[in-house]
Amino acid sequence: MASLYPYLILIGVSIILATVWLLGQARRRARITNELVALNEELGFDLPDLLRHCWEPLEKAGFKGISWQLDWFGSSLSEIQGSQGDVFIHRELAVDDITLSVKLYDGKRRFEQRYFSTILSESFFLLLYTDMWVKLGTVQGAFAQTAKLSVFLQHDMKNIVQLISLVSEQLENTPAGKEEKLLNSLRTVMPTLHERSERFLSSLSSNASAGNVEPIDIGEALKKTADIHSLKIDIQGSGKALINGQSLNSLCDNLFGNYIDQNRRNPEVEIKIEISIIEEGPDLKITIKDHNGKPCLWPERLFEPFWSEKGDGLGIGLYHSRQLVQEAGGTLLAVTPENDPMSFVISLPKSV
Amino acid sequence: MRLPVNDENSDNVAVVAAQQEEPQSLATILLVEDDPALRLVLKNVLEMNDYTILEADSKASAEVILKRDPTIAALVLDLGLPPSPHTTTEGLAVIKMVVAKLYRAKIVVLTGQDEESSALAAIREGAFDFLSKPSRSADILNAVQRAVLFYRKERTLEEEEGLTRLQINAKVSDGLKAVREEAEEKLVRHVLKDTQFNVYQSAARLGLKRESIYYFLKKFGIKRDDG
Repeated sequence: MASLYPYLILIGVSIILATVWLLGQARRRARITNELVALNEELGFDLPDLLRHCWEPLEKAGFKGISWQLDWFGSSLSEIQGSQGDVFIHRELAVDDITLSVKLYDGKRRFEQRYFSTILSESFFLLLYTDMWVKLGTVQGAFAQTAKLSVFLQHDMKNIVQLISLVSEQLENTPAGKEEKLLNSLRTVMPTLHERSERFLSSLSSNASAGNVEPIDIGEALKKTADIHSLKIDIQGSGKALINGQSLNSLCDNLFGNYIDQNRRNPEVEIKIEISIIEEGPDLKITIKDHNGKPCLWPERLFEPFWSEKGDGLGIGLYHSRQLVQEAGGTLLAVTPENDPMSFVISLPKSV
Repeated sequence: MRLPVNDENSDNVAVVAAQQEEPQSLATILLVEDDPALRLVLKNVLEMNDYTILEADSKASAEVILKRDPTIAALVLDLGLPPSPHTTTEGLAVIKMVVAKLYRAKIVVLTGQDEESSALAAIREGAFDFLSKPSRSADILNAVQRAVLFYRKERTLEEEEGLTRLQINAKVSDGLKAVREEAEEKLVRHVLKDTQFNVYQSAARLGLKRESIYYFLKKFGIKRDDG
């Protein structure tokens, strides 16, 4: 038995050395994979750029060369780096208008080295494939958003143009004795037209700076907007906050607009909006809740731009509202209990 | 000799004079538009041309007004109505409602939605005319005038010759049976509405037995409050 000890020790040491070697190799490959991921991020997930700059880390991993051919939205790009050979890992990737053929040239490798090469090459191909989808998603998303925005703006613009053209025609051809009636209607129409045009403009420049802030009575502003929408609200408390007047109007419009849309979908349920305004440290805290509202089914989607519950809205109302509040140095949160109506909580710097 | 002035008589004269000044309404038009400013301007345009205008800002309010006032000759309808003012869903639902409930009013669509697809959908559902925003007031008035004329003439044909106009969308490939059933349903609904759901009178008008009317009621799921 004692004669076996040297062999057992030798076997044990060999296993330990092999394990240490394998761990070292695995760590090296993991480092190179991380390097590729970081490079991809640094290049903004841009596929052509990644292909042009990936050779350095791949060479470190022991690959002999790379060749690729890319069809990028109809433009062909190709490149060969390193040397080519008979042993290679080949992959064809295609996503809509982007197709890629890539070959990674490898020397003759032994078992574990083949294994490590395969893992690294698969990670690399996955990065390339992800970049293709990122690009496609960005392009398609941009097209979809532009189309949606265009439909909304066109609809509003057509109404404004229709209104102006009818008013102009009426002014030109007012029947005798109807001047007073026309004047009275203009008194009503013009402020509304002005308000609509302002809103149209603000929807075009939703990222524009809000401008000067001023102390504004929040209760009064909420009441004014609610009156415009013929919405009954119950306000408890009062206070002035520092915010731009136009931003506050847009904010109230967007928040109340949500309740009005819900009510139009379920006209049998009466809206019962209660608003509390309280001072909390340096802030004014405004809580808005429709006590007859339904629990929110999509809390994680509420502030997602261009998402709307029924798919028929533009979906930037709440996103825009949050931006306006943040520009004023405040916060806008939605509290969405599972079995209770949701409420909006706005904190704005109070006016001292 | 001067006659003493009778206050009561002078009032009557004033009333008559006012009635003479106020032109007689050409027809009652229902304006279905969710934009209050545009609705007001359109109302003015039509009122200045001697139409009586009723206003609605949604499908629900249009339905209430149509039910209340059977003399409405035409609707000027915006397809983009709340709760989805940027799609044609609600506007088309109004056309479907008017057709399904057999209101005789003609529908003039005035919309800012995508022209080609909206026009096709509106006409398929039963709109009388289609105008896209922005339209000139003369075009709107012409369309309304034509709609009122058709409404009037159809009423005349109905009253004088007992002719009822039924609108049927038929696919030739569906065959005659589908067309016959749709025509049967529309005619039965129409007569029931006219007779205020009097089965006896409806049967007499259609030359059928009462049992047949009950059969149609069951077959087409017609209920008293449908119209």
